[in-house]
Amino acid sequence: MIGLLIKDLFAVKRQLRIVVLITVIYFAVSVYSNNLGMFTGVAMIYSIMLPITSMAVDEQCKWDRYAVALPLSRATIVLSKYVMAVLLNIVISLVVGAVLVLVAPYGSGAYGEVLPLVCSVSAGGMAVIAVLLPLLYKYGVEKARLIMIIVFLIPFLLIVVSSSFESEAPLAWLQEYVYLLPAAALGLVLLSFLISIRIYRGKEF
Amino acid sequence: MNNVLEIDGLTKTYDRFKLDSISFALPEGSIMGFIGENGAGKTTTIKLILNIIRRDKGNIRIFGRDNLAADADIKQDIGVVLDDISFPDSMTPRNINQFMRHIYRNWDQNTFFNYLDRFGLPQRNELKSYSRGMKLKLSIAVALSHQAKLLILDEPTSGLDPVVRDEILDIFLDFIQDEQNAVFLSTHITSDIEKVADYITFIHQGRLVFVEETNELLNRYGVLKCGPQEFEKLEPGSILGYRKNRFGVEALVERARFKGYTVDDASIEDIMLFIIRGEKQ
Repeated sequence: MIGLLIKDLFAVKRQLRIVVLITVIYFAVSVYSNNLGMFTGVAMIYSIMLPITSMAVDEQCKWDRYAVALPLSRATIVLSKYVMAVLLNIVISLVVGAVLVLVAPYGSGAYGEVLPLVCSVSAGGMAVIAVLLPLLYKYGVEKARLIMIIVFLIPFLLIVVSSSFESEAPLAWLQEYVYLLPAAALGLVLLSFLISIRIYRGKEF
Repeated sequence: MNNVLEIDGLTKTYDRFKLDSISFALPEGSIMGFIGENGAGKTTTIKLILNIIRRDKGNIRIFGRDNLAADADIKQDIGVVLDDISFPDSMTPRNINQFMRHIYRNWDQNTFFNYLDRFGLPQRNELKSYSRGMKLKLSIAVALSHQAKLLILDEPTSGLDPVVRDEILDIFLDFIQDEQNAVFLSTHITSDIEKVADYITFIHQGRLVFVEETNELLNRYGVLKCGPQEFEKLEPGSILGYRKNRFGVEALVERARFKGYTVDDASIEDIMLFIIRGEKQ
């Protein structure tokens, strides 16, 4: 599996450089406009986009057909993608957390907001990965992109609609459990992993 | 002599194509050429051997073990070249070395770099600057760098110039010298097969036409040339395929049954073409 992780790193190295560059730019803009939420959001979007990119690259060069001919079980191949996605999420969460703590004295000064923010963003990223990867395995990157938009549009619309009826901010109740969110999201990822293995075992290349 | 690869009754059905009950065995210390026209089922067979697709029926044993039960373990000892390179364009051969050594137990980077030098492949260039021939040579280098005992290659020489092809065929001949290794290669280039293959497996429209020793095959069959009248008098059922032209008739025959006639040598290409395209009696 280490071999596959290294391979994925090489496969997306070009995109990785761009991501680091854009993140730095966004960081500068966020600090300047005193809106670190933007930086946090962008960083998390990249933690989702990089696994998608790596699967797009795989698809383009027919990697999976070759990978299953190597001494790797199909479960290992799927596992390596999940490990990559989760590691990326953790690394980005840590980086975002560190940056927020570092800049806090110059901005709002509210250290107490950092951990809840990082927890919820990290959990959000993992939940998206959990929904996304089985779709990518099942339908391929091209089709999954479309389905993805629909999948994420529905909850978004529901929140918008429900917020017009309730006076309280939508999903406010989640704030009470914010430290549990990453664990819950990880559970979702585990379930998603089991579904993806099932899909991948049935695949022909 | 043990068989490195044994295939028995292999069947796979698609909407418009069926690989129908293919059986053959590849003994150790030998090279088997796998021939047939495009769409005959060569790639399907190779994908089934490697479990890239699922079979409907049949058994495959590699190194005497069932290939479904011991999948990943068996593949440690197989070198694979598929018809297209499967590495991302942004990688370099050095990158490939860095992750492949974690995938194959017996990966040997010195062997790998030696092959890269031998094939004239730059180690630090990204694959997008590689030509098709270079990519193919790189796949072959990867397949040869982990002490495999069996090479399974889908069209490993197509798109290469005759000089490199010859060099690669020599590498395959070296590879089987230790009498335990074996090579299974599919190809269109029948002259390559004639050069190196000990056995030939020929499939046509998903069915096995024959599995033969190359020398035996070339000794057994020949091309008979005769006039149209003479042709009419030939024993029915003795012609495997024939074609008529302005000067007379050419027919693929078993030499033993035509002792008194002038029968020319048949190449593997002749045999393939007469059987696929020749008219039947």
